[in-house]
Amino acid sequence: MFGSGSYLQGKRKSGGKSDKRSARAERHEQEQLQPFAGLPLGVSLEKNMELIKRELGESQDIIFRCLQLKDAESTKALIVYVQGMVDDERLNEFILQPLHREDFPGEGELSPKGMLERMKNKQLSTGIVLDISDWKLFFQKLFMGYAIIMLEGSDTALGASVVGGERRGIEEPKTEMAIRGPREGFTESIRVNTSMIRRKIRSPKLWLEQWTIGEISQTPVSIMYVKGLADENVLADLRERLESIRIDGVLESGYIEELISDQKWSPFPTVINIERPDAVAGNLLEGRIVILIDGTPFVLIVPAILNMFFQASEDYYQRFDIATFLRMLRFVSFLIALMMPSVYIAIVGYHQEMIPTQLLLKLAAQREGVPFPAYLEAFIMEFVFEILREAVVRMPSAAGNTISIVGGLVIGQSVVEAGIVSPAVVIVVAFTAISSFVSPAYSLGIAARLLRFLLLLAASTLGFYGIGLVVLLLLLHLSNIRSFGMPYLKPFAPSYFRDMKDTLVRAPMWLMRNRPERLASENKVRQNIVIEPRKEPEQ
Amino acid sequence: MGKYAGINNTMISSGQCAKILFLFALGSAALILPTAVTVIAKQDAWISMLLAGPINYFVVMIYLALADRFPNLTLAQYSEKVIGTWAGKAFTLTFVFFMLLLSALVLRNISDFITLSVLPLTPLWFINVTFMVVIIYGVYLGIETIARTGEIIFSWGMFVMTILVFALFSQFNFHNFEPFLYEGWMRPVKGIYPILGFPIGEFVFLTAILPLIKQEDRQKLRKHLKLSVVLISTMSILMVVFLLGVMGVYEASRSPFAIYDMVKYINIEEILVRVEVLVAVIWVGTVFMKLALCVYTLSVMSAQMLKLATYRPLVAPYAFIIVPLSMIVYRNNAHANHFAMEVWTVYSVFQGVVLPLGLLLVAVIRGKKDFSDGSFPEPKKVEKKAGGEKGAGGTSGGAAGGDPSPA
Repeated sequence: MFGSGSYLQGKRKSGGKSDKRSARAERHEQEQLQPFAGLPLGVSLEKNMELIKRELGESQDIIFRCLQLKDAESTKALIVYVQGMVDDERLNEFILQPLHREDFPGEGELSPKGMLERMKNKQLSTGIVLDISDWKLFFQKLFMGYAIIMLEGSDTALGASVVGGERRGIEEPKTEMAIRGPREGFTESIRVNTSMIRRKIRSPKLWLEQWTIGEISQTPVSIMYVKGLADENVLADLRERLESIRIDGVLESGYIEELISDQKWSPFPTVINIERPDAVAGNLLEGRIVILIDGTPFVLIVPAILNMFFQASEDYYQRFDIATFLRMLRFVSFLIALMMPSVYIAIVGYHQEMIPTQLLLKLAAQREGVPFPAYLEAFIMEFVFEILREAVVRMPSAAGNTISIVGGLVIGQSVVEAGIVSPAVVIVVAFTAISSFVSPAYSLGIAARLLRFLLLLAASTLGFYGIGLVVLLLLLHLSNIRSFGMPYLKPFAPSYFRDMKDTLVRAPMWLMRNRPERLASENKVRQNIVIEPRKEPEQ
Repeated sequence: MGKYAGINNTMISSGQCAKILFLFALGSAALILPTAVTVIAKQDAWISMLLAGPINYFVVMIYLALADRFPNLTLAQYSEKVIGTWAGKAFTLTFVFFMLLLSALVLRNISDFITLSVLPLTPLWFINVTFMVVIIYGVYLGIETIARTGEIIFSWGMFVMTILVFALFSQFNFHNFEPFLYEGWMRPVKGIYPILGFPIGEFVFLTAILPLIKQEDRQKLRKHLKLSVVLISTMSILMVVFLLGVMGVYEASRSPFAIYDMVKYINIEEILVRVEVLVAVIWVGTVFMKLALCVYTLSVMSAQMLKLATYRPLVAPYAFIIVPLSMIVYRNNAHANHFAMEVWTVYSVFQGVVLPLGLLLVAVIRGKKDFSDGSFPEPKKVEKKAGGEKGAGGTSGGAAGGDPSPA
């Protein structure tokens, strides 16, 4: 929890623990999941088919298409694919039709192996065709959406990529809205996502590495980075962490996020998730590393420091003055979302002298007849608000109006009218709620949501002194944690004055000449030729 | 060897060191010292603050001169090299006692302040314990974390101070400074006396921090510390000037926490009134820094004196000593003022100036210099990792035995 002092910390693989874990994982693998590792394909088509059917429990969505190759009467071929995961049209056009149409030399002229070779070279017109000689690879490719062609008498098969099937198209991102900027968001398909990034950064320096993570789910996971900008130490660390993951399935990037982040017990996220390709491209250009996971539109970016959670991609598309204003607004609203109820409680409960007399009288009049102490009111209303919020997220959208009426009018108005809760608390909670939605990063908002209750508790027991203590604890915690070796509060602490240009303020483009420090130690210069505003010639 | 052995070998930058020094100097002194000086020097108290400025730097110079001779060692380590092992240990022991007492005093300062001004019904021990919990956490996390926290507190402190200064302009009265030098120069010179012990003599904590400065930052260190001292003097003068200008000599010298009472004068359109509790929050932050540094120095010096592998196991036990000690160290606030103004200076100057200066002289005469590395031993785990990092995780077998039991 406390981390170690080395620059790249959190190498959790060291020690005996990992040995035990990986040994167990290997055994697990051998016993159940990969009975075919290294097992070669058989020669007999009949037997192979039988094995597939047996192993897959005669699943109905596995299609076996037998065909007789023309002019080779006795040579049978078998095409296996998973219905729905292949593109039927492409299967037809590039595999089935050529195999039907083409003339084959007579039997005996070519061995089955030679026939496969000929098929591969002359007939199958798909982009990827590969040889498959063992069952592990066979099943892996089968469930990735390959059509696999087997031939009687051959112990190798051909896998042809006709990956397809229905997937969601590119739509506007749902979580990160922008008024100005690209309208596209990531989709669930990893290849579509990588292509969207490549379209933003058309450079040979944009490198991609791929893993398959998840013992059962076999999910493709890629990392992308700009070679020369990304920190090699962070890359090595990330590779090690990804390779050490042993888990049954990876269904969303949250799995990976939780498994690779340095801080297991921190409410603050040390990995950021993003749905916008333009924001991802911007991060790549600043030397960060992107992790894409198949099956989710949320990609991960490391290292992620606190400051990044306040940056929206739109900041860079608008003029710097308004962008700076919005930045500060976000910081302030984060503080409000975190502290407003507790500050209210501290003032009302312990430091009434801070309230101007007029206001104090008003507040006192409101609280007349309210049966609960102020902190209890705040706790109740905060809790009610959290319930409302969760209800709105989970319920079917048709019920949305009902909830807003019940939540807003019935609860909001009638608790005040009934004199159960004072209006001031309702105002404070409502303002806090609105502020908590300002943060562009949802994951940071969660931290504020949780810590708000801690601060409330401190404020109701010790007033401002309690708030001060909790804030100190938070500061210590934030100063201590790191994301892949990057101090979380950088560039505030440790302070790098040059990096301040993209924190509380968003400096004008022509001033942001250097990339962030410590991320790109070698290549610092972002703009070589800087176009500065033209000065009026002196008279 | 503890799991976190060697964590305190992490490095801080010279800028962080300067900010730490600033926060330490203003830490608990900001609220108490102006009263003490005003009692002696009356309306010329700001001159005392001005005169104390160069002394600040002189003391820091002693520590820097020692650090030049022993760049990677703390006071506890080089005292053994200069005057022999056992004499050195005895020498260090005096500093351990000094730091222990100082920690108790600082803790008592904050709890006195909170119980007197902010939370009158809360018992002293409860404030002590809650504050100490945060301190233990902070010191446990190490100097790097403390330094970074200090940077944030520094920025916020300066921000709040600036706002306060502007908010107080309307209450400022220049007549409060008259008559100027009414009784000649002796009065402001006498006013330096409490400043010497509190906080100047306490700067000796720097001897435990200086060896932790990054190697590449060492040239800038002198410049940064100079800046820090200038800033300390400026802030102290500014505070005293405003204190006198707003409250006048008589009120200022009667109030136990003068700056806190001064902020009560802020009144902007009847909206921004009585914001003194914000000062209290900032002050909780700066006192936290001072106490954390004291406890850190205390633990590190003890650990090095006893040749431990890490200071961490000492933090919590020391906290258990400091909390009761702070309860018995004063009888009441008046006693505290009396002690801080008269007794403490002698002790503090002896420990913070006379002894290090003597050590420096002995080191110069005997020509002692030592560039050896004084950091705590690194845990085995880290060494293995540094060696085998290139190999793709193939070292795990070798490191299997290196997972020690937690401290």
